[in-house]
Amino acid sequence: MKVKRWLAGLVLAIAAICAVFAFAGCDNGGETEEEAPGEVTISYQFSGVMDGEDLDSFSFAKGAFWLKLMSDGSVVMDRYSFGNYNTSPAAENEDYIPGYMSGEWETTSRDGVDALSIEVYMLTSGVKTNAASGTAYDRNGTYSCSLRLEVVQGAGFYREIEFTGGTTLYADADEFIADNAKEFVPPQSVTTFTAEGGTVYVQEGGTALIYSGYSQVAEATYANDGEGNMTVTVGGQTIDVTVDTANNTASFEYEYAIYGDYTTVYSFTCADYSAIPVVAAQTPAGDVYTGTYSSMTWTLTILDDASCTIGANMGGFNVVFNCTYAEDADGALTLATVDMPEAYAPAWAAIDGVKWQLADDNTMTAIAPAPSQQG
Amino acid sequence: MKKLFSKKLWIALTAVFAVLMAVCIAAYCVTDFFRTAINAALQVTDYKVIQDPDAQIFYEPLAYSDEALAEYEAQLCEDIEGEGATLLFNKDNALPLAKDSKFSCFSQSSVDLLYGGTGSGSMDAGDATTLHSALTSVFGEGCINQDLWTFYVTSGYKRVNAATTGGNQGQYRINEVPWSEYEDAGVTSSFAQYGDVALVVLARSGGEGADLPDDEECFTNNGATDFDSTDGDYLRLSAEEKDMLDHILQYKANGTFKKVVLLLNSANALQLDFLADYDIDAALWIGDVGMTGINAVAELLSGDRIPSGRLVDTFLKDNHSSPAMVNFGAFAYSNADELGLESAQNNTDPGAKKANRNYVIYQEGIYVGYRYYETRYEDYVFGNGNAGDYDYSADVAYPFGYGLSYTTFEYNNFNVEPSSDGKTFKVSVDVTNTGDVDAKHTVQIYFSSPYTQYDIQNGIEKASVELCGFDKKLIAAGDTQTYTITVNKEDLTSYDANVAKTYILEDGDYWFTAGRNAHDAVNNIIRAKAQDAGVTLDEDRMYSFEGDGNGDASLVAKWTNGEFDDTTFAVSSATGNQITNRFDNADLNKYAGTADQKITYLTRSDWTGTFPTEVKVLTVTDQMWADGLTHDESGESGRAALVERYKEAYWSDATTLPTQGAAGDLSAIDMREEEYDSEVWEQLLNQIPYSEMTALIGDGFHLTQSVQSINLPGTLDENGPQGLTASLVGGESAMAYTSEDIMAATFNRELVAEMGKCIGEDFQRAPSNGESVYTGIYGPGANIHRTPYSGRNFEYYSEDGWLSGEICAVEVAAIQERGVYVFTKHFALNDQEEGRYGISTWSNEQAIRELYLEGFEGSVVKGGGLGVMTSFNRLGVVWSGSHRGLMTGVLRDEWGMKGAAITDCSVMANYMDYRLGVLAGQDLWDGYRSGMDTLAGLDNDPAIVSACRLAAKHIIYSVINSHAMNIGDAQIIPVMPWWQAAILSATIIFAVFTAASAVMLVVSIVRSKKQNK
Repeated sequence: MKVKRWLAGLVLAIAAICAVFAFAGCDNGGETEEEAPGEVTISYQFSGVMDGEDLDSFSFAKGAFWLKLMSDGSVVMDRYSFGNYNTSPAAENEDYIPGYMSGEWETTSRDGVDALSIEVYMLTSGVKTNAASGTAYDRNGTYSCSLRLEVVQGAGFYREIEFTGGTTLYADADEFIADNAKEFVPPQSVTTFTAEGGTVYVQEGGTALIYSGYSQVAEATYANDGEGNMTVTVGGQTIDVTVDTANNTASFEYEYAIYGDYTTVYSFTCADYSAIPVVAAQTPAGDVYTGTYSSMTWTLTILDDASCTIGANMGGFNVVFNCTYAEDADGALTLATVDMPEAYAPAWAAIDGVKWQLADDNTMTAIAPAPSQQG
Repeated sequence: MKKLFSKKLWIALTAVFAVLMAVCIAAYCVTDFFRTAINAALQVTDYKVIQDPDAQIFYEPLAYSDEALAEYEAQLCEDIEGEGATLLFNKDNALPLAKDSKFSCFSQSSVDLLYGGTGSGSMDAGDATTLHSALTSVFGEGCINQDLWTFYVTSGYKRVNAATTGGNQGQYRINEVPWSEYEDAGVTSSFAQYGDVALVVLARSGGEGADLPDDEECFTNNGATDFDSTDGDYLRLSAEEKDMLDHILQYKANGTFKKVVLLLNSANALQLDFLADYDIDAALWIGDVGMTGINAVAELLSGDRIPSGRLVDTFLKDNHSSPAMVNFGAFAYSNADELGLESAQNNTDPGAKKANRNYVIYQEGIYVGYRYYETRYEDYVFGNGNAGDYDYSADVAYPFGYGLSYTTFEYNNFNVEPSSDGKTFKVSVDVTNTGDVDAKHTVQIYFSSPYTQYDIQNGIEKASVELCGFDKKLIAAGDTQTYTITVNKEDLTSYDANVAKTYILEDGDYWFTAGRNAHDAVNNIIRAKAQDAGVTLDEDRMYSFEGDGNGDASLVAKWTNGEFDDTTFAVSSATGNQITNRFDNADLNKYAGTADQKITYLTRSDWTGTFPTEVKVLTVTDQMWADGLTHDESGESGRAALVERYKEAYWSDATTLPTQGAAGDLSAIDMREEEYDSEVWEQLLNQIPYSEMTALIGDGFHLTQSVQSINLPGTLDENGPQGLTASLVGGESAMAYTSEDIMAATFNRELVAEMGKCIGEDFQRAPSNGESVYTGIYGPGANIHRTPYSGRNFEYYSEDGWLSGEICAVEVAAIQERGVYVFTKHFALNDQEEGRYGISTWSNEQAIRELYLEGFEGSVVKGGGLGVMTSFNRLGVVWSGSHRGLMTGVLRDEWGMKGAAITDCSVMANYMDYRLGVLAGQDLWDGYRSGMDTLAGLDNDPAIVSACRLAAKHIIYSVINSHAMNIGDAQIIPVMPWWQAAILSATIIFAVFTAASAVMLVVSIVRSKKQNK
């Protein structure tokens, strides 16, 4: 019995903590929760949609709004971000935010015409923010108005969203979600690489579209000889694809930089390598080697007997150094920069003195410089 | 008890808690990365101010309650509209209307007026006064055809603006109600009862991010399949509007309507070619009316107010007759695809990182607005300059400065006297109100400078007339008032970018006149010149407007400059520094990087031969790439290499690493008593560590960061220019005044100053986030109306740079008197929205200085403006914020600006490179460093650190001269915002739970082993 109590207490504590943080995550000031059910009912309800091709790269910003004018004069506006293609019922749908905005409404006669006067806002630290007001008029039983809503909270741009509705619209949130849910239509492809949260759509002709969630984040090219040698080039960087011909799989890692500094690494795998078309390399280059050092992936391109380039994505920038190289007795290369801009010095310091041991599989291993002697 | 020591249980709980802890850690890292944005959105800070109990209050609030202030501002907005709205024509004194008039209001815009523009300067107009309310308050209950009003309100037709983010020109829609719907609804039967006046509202919206469409390609290029029943030109009437006017005029012809009155509700000048086709009785241009301005319009209709506004743009019958129109838009470099160049309209567009695809050429030079129409007209009259068969009357509907009243005014005793020090002219004229109502009247002084052989040979252009002075007075009916206006000789100069490479005052005859408008002025001067030269004018070539004479030589005075002067005005009167060419790299004909890609600018020595007819195709050369179009970081032509060139060119003296983060006890407040160039500043700056400096410079999205090492509080900054929008960080708008053109059209400095004072007061009273207060306004706008189609014309005063500067100066000075610093925007040559991110703007230096910088010069030099907001575009190939000539040469060296220059929104716009910016003179970024922090790790670079110190100084200077310092010698303490504390607490709790579970797991394993034994 004690055990049960102890566990129940633990579960309750966790639930309380989770509730606190869930609340904090969705907080719009703590005053946007719907009133407890009782006599308060929905008098009028509207829906509006924020959508458009320009939001394709920010699919999370797409959304439908359910504006409810309650019988007690309050307004509750829910938001469903359909751009994440989550069609779960409201109770478990994390893209459905009940009480996204709150507000007040009243019936009024504006300029001699019966209307509904509506104001919505968020409350942050007790201060009204993102306030928007509109007047809805009855046109043969259908009401309409527009409200100026922010595209993404805090991002700073607004859109006039047209709302239409009446006394009836949705029975509940599930119906609202169902009415506004979208089906994701993936781009045409011959096969895909998949990773948690990401997909690469491999197309005929040597192109591959890289998606993070439902947003296309990059367009890549690929080269494949059909015999296990494959590369993917994205943003000027060529990534070697590891092919397991025995299991007919292929895989590579891709680092996607959100706002440059914050990155996500996707480990993409294709379960059907043979479905990838044979495509010759579009731009033949010198021998290319990749290796990691100092938490970055470096790409070394041998240009001729003495010169090369080495580069990595550093803080959102693809930095490439022009270098000369010298080979030691063990075959390791020591690099020296050529005409390096002074602004690059801090970046070069990350690999200054590093030797690179090249391998036949076009990988390379960094040999860190010995620590300097102190005193 | 057995369950308590179940291994499975503790394995599961350990795993669950560990995952939750990991999620919290990840959330902390991610959110910390975006903390500036999150803090702004949640209106919290990461510092706390410990107030100085003995703080001196530098800016006391005005002695109004909030309610009284709101009431005063509502009245002020009405007064501005009342003095800016301009009467264009008034056949048979159709206006004013009798107080018992009954109205039928036409167009869907009559029930949905334009109160302001869209975009960052937009405001919530949900509570704005409607036309219905305004007319009712003046003409009484029941004055409006309610059936017609209700019909429009419920019609379902609505004007559509282009969205600011992701919007485009193809989205604009007039959406006027088709006439068939009036008949279907049976509303036409209501006209007879409300037949005194058919009041027709024609509205056109404009806003940030999308220029108004001027041809069908503006729609089709954006995927739109219809042109909203226009020919693609949004400033012309749609088919439904024409049909509506046709029917209204039929009802007038059959006696149903007695009068038809037109309200032009737009900051973008509609093309007025239709006026001749319709028997309209009167028309008022009312711009965007702000929250309460429509009340004043109703009073103008009734005669409770007398119109006194004057046009600040030339209103045309053919908008495409402007020489700027062919080069209006964004044009791709011919090798843009080959080089992988990209464009962007907004920072949500991926192309914002590069923003280097497009260009625009200001091939018309100085001939914008009336400078073109009036100059070509004069040359046509005199038969000069290959003016051709020019028909002024076919182009111009109403000239710059035009406006009628309900009374008339007579001018006499015009006189001009040079001052004894030779720096100014005292211009005076007697004005008599010859009507029977008291009315305000604006006298406009224009000058004409000699167009000489020197000019023709050296590519210097001269407009036939230029505005150089004005004043507005109330004159009682029958009374005479003497206007005395000071004209600065400096304003008569021209910029010679080719020989003297500075301002010159040429030898020859200068003519002054008091004109009722620009055309009246040129007619006066034409008469005087003809008389002076003994020439007989061809009267068939002369043209005049209603209310004007046909040229009056008695209102002209000549002043002769005996000597060519290229020295007096080569030195800045503001700073004493030399003025010389700064923009050779923005002029296709001077910049070596464009190789042989030269153009012919429009010249009055050959109008017909040089009138721009097609867009010059430009190709990016290697040098253009290396000098600024590059989007590469590395390589010989990359940005890093450009940074090195900047350092060598502009910061070669910075060889010693400045002190950073030194111990010291100076506080920001101490600097209020110090001069800008005091050495104490160096001590203060020494105290600031590099990390604080770069945060201050780089993370300025609608705020400035606190600097704890010198006890400088953070601030909140917000958009204007119609008032405090509070739009980008949420919050409620304060009073929204009229569009800027209406403000300028008042020609009333006192009114504008009063408005500036109130805007400053609104900022002072805006709710703070507990620690920071609103101290900076992104506005006013001081670009010019290069064409009628710019999306943001509502945020700019006029087509005339000088007038923009005069009005801007008084507004800026008044705002700043309330302890609010300005960022006059968008500096510079951001006169269109298409391609605005990074578009290469090519212009010659004479036009840049005489037109496009004048508004900003007024803000800084005359108004004492502390700041500017730099623009998205490039000057030539160089982004404006990294243009050393603009940011340091002009802004600091010539004008002496002491405060901060902020960028336009820099979020995700990597081309607004921090290194290039600070090295050129840019101070503050309206964005976050995330993803583009090129200053990171450069704390050992003497040039970069020196440039950052200067930028920090400018920002600090702005803040310490604001009401943010009402806190006195306060302490700034770092604190963790609640949301960050919440995540951290969760992390700790889950860490404890994880550890506890792990301990229990170990215990259970040990216990299990013991039991097994």
